[in-house]
Amino acid sequence: MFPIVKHELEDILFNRRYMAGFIVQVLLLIALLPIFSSQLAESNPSLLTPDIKEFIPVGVLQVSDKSDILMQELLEEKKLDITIYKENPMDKLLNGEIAAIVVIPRDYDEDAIKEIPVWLIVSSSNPKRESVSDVLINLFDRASKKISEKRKEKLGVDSQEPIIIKRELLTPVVIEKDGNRFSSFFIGYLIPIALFFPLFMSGGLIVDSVVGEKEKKTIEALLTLPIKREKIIQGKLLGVFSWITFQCFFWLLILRIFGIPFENFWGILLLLSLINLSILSTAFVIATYSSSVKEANISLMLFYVLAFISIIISLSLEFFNPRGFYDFIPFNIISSLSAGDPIRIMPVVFTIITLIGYSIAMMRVNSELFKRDDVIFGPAPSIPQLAGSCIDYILRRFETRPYIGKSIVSIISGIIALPISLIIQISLGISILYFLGYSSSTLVVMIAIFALLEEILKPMALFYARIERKRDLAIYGGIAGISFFTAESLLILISSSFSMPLWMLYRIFTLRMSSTLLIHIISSSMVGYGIYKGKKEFVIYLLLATYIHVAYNLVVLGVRL
Amino acid sequence: MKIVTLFKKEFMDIVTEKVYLLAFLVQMIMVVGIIYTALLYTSINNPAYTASSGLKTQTPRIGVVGLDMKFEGLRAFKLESADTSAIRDLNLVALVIAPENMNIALQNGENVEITIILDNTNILSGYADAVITRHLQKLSEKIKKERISRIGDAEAILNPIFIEKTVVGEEKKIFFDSPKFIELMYGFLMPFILLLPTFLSMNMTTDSIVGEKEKKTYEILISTPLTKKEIMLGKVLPILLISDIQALVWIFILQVKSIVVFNIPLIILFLTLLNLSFIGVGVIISAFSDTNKDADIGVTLSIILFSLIFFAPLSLGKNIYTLSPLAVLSKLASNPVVNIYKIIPIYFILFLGSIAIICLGGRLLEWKENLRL
Repeated sequence: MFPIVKHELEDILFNRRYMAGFIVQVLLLIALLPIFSSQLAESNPSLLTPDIKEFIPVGVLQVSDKSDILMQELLEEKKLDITIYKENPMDKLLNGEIAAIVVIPRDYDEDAIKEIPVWLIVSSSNPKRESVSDVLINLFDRASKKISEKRKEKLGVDSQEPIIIKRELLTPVVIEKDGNRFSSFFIGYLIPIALFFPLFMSGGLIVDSVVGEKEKKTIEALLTLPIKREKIIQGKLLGVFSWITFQCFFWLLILRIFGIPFENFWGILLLLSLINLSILSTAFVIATYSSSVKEANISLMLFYVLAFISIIISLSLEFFNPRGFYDFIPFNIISSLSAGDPIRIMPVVFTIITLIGYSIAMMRVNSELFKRDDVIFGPAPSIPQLAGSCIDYILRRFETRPYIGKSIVSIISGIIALPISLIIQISLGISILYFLGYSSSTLVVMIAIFALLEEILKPMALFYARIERKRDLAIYGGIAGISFFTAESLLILISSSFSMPLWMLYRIFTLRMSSTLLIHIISSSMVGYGIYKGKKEFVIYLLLATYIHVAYNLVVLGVRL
Repeated sequence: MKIVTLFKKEFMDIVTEKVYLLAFLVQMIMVVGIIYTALLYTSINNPAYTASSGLKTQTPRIGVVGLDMKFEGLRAFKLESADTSAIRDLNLVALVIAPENMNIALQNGENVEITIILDNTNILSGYADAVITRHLQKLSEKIKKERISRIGDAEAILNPIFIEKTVVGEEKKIFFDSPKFIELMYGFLMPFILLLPTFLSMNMTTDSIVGEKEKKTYEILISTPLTKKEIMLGKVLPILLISDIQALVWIFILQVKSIVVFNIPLIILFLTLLNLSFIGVGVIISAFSDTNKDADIGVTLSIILFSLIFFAPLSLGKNIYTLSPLAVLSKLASNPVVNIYKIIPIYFILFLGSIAIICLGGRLLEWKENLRL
């Protein structure tokens, strides 16, 4: 296997394209670090919004010339695009050319000690109506304070505030080291994101290493080598993994050289490598299965976009709403490690074991795929065909006791249905809410679509399980329903356990056990029975099961039709 | 007529290409995601606006020690001691601690110090801080006024400017009437959304030209009775059309949510000119690339470079910012009417630039092709 690893690494190191990409990454990192660290040095926890210049067009009608302070404030405000008019520009306000008019009337005199008026005219049809009022009222307030200071000085009045406000932050936002100030937001949020860049740049490497060889037909020569097939793909994975690990090490080193005070160098590298391995092994499965470079590029792009979005979401949610639940998410552990936050050992151990287990499982899947001639030389088998082969494999293992094999297939079917249906439900839900808006009828539509989806997915493996008796299909459908219910209940209870008291969790559990379980068993049994009956009847049974599921959900959620 | 055939072929090639369809889908998810993120960001930052939009919100809770006052928009709990563990135990956003006998000290003309301890990991801490500060400043102002009124007109000394606000015109429905949302949406996110097809257009150009080079069909194409100009137009026009259609779809998605986009014809014209220059860069990259891999490096580097050029001015000075396409798009999209004389020079410069880039690209392609053949 090691000659393959060596060969892969040489390929990477002597490839001009990869090296150019690597240099660009390093240059970007070096260029971006000072910008972000200086911007965020004094930060508060809210996200940055760009300082938008000349965003709001405002017309000023200056009648009084004793308005130096106010005019200076108006002209210095970056957000405003000021035009000074000699006559009232009301027509321009009404047609939308300007968002507001500021009139400095004749009796406005900054030198006289009296109250002075400013007129603000805003058009309510302009989308910037709130923005302009917000900016201008703050601006008038600032000008007013300046004039007040001048007057107090003139009259010899004490300008100190009777109430002095002092602020303290519960968690330090700014970390000081060697006279430099760094935001913990920067350390705990941006650094972890930056550290995943080598991984996200690895798509090209994987495609070239696996699908590239298939397309160039060089894989045939590789397969003739006196080495086991799975060792070839494992060697390739190890080659890419070593290069990415080296890049991560290099990036961490650069951050250290730049004096960024992140903690746990080796801890971060270890966990980062495990996360990279699990994502890479999945990416390799995708690449091995793809029949062309184009197809691999599309699938990997989508996979990496999803992985990147999940990193951003998990880090963002934790930053704004810290809860114990995030201690189990690997990206968040990296964030805590780099910020030097206290770490709980149990979740870290659990995460490490899960990552290793997942990577091994994915590598196994990859080896099995690589062993198949149809995957390497084509025509590539479809996903249902692959699923069918897996099911066959399980059934063959339990040939003497077929009911065990069939039960295992049903259980796996129910468990796999949960993440698939969740992903589809989330994307569909967002689209439906976006275009139809939130209302009780939208909710009903969503509940119906989601129920139909779950009913289709739960017993889907039974299509391939070669079960001949209709009674058996209903039973195994019911088992798939129980397995889906168990996975769903575990997910609900674990995610709620961080925000709900025990008694509430107990109530959820009892409600689910007493009624939801029954609904899942009945509906999945019906769909399983429908599989036996044939296509037309299957649709009828599926719709019937969906109807029961929807009716139950509507009652539980208290939705009125 | 010949050019129409090539146009049709190129157009169909793009719209039936899986990669582009996927890119289109990813962009659509991004557009909807961006809108929701902006909404989520602005709403969780300010519960008052969220409540006004009809969504249910939870009033942030704060603890108050030694102070007897109400904070509008916050739920205040009176606490006996200034123990910070109460923040976690009672799920508070902030703790306001006033000194003992504060009122007596203030009556005696002394100044006092009030401490606000903020749970800065809570997103509502910024909002709570603003509300508490506003109330304390009001109190401070009241006391100051009482003290100054002994000398003269307190209002004229402390708050000389008073605002007389008038609202004119017909009120229109706005998706989320919060200053922060409007600024974020029109000033940054909408231009970004509208520029997504522009960035993709460069990739489409290199795919179309270098793809033909790789498949060796480019030689066949140039041996047809089509002139070089016609080939170039046949390749450029479908990409321009598709980019414009995409921009229009994004505008439609925004309009669905009552996020009004003004000056659509001017925006489309601006984007067309900008796309033309990006396509021109794509042609230049194609001239120097023999394989799609080489072209991809060129496209990636150019996109990084253009992103820096477009987005970096956001943090630079006012004058540099006005030159950024982001600023032009933001102005066009957010103002019902724009001063045409102010934007004509930008269009003119962009027009000349695009034509120059595309001509240069055409020449370079021809020159490199002659060398190759």
